[in-house]
Amino acid sequence: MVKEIKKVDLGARILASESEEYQTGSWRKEIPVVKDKEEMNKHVEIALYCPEAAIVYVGGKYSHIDYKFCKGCGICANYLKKVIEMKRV
Amino acid sequence: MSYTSFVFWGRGGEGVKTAAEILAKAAFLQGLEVQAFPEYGPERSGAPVRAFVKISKEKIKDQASITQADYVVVLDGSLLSQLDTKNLILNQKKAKLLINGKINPEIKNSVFIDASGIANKYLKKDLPGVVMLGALLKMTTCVKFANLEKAVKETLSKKPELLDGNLKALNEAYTQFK
Amino acid sequence: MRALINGNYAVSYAMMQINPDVCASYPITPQTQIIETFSKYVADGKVTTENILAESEHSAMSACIGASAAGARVFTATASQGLAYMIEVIYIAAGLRLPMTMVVGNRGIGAPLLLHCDYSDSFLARDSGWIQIYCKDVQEVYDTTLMAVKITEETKIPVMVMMDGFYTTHGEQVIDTLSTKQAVNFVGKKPKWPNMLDSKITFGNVSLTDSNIEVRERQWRDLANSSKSILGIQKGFEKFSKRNYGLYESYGLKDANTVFVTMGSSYQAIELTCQELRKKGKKVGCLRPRVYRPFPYNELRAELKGKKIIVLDRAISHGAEFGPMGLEFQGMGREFYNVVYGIGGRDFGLEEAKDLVGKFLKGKQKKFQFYGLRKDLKN
Repeated sequence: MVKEIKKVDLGARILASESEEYQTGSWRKEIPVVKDKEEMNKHVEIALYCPEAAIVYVGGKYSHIDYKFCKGCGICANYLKKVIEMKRV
Repeated sequence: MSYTSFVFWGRGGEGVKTAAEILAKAAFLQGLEVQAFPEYGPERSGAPVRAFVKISKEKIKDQASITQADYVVVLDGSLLSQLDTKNLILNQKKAKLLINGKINPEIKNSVFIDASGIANKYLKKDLPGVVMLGALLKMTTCVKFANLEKAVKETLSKKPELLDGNLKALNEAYTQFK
Repeated sequence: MRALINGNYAVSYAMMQINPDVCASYPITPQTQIIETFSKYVADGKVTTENILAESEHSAMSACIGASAAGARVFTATASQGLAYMIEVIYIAAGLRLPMTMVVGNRGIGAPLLLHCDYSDSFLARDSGWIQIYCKDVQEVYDTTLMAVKITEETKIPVMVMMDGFYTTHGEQVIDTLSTKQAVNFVGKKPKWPNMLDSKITFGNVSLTDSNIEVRERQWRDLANSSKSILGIQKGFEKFSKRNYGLYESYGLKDANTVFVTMGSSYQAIELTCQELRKKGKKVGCLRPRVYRPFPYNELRAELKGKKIIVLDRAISHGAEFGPMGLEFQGMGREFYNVVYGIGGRDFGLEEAKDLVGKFLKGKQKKFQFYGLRKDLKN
C-alpha cells in the first residue's frame, strides 16, 4: 500500500516514520513460504541477508516474515533452499 | 579624491610585501586611512613582485591598482638592468624613485641608497625592506618615524631574530639618509 | 573597533567571533587565507569549530550539507574552479533547504587558466537557488558575513557572499569591526528547526514527476520572498553597527538621465567619476546591485525608469546577445547599453571609469561592447 502524499515539505524532506507507511510488500510477484520453523531457528544469520529486514527473529528464535515489507526478492529462499519456497502470488 | 600612493618593487622573497604592510600599518597606527595590496601572479622566489600602498586623511574608496604613483620604492636595483621590468618601473610621470643600488645618473627623479649594505651589516641578510622604509620617511612626511618604528615592532614581533637588527638598520637609514 | 585588515582575514575574523559549529573547506586562490587563518584559530583554541579539511571542494560542500542537515551552524569558502567543482552539491544544498554561509572570492573560471577577478564563478551558481550578495569592499564583506548567518537560518536558504578576488580578498583596508560580544549578540543562538540529530527525518529523497515541480515552486517562492527577511536582518544590523545596507546601492539616481550599473569594487571607481561629473553639472548616476539573488527587479525597474542605462558586466554569457547581468536589465530604462569589462582581472580603476563614462556621455555607442581590449595585442 503506497500512501498518497497531500503536502510536500521543504526540500521534499519526510519523517523517517513515513518509510514505515510506505509498504513495499505490494511490489511482490512471488512470496516466500517457510516450510520448517525448527530449521529456521538454526540459521539466525538469514535475518541479515534479507535486504528489507523482513525476516523477524525474537530472542534468537524465528518469529515470522513481515509480509508488509517483503518484496519477494528470493534471497532467503536461495540461501535455505529446502526450508523456504517461493510461491507465485 | 586625494591620497599619497606608493609602489614597492622587488623580487619574490626579499620582503616587498612585508615592507608595504609595515608602511600601511604605520599609517594606520597614526590614525590615517590606508589601503595596501600586493600584486599576484605565478609565484617563485626571484620573480619581480609589486605591492601598493595608498595613504590618506579621508576614506579611500578606489580599490584599483596604482599606475602613476607618488613614490616608487625599488628594493632590488637589478630589476632596472632587465629591460622588461625597467620599462614598467620607469613608466611614471610624477613619481620620485627610491632605489636600492649604485647611483645611476640616467634615471631621473631618483635617489639611491645602499640598503643591502645596511641590511647585511645589521641582519647578516640582504632583506632591505625596512631600511628602504627608513629612507622613504625622509622623502615623504605623511607618516611619522615613531609610528613606523612601532609598526616594525608589531609586524616582526613573531620573528625576534629579525626585529633587533631591523630596528638598528631602520635607525641608521633614517638618521644617515639625506 | 578600528582595524587594518584584508577581505580574507575579515571573513575569518568574523567567523572566529561567532564560533560556528562546522567549517568544511578546501583552499583555492584567492580565498586560501580564509581557510589558513581560520585553521590557525582552531589550532590555537580560539574557536571550538569542527574544522574539516576536505580532499576537494565537492567533498567540502558535501560535508557542509551533512553538517547542516544535522543542525550545525556551517560555513565555508571557495572560488573559481573550486566553485565549479562543487556545483552539483551546491544545487543539492539549495534544494534541501539547508542553512549555510559560503564566501566566494570572485575569480574567473578557466580555461585559459587565470587567477584574477571576474564573476564567471558566482554566475555559474546564479540559478541554483542560493541567496547571492555581492560586496564592494572589506567593510561590507565583514558586515555581510555576519548578516549572512542570520539570513540563512531565518530563510532556510544557503547564502553566498561575494567579494572581488585580489582587490578585496587581498586588499588591506581600514574597517570598523564589532566587538565579539556584539557579533555574538547579533547572530544570536541557532533557531530550533527539524534536523537529523534531533528529529527522525530523511533528507535527500526522490521527488519525481508527481511532486517535483511543487517542491521547486515552493523553493522558488521562498527565495523570491526572502528579500523581506534580508531587509529586516540588515535593519537589525544597523542597531549594532550604525551602518545600513539595502538590496542595492545608488548615487545620484533621482534626477540622473544616464545611469551606470555595476557590481563589486569597480562600483567605487564609477561612483567617484559620477561625483566629479555632478560637480560639473552632468546629470549622471550609478547603481550597484548588492543582493543579486533574489533579484530585486521591481525596485530596480522603478529606479531606472525613463533613464539611459549602461550595464557593466564582469562576466560573459557566451552565445547570448548581452552579458549575464545585461540580459537581466535589458528590459529596463528608456535606452539600454551593455559593456563587458574587467574579465580575468583586467583593471578597472578611476582612469578606466572616467574614460568609459566619458565615451557614453560624448556620443553614440554600440549597444554591446567589450571595454578595455588592448590595441597592441592581436586576437
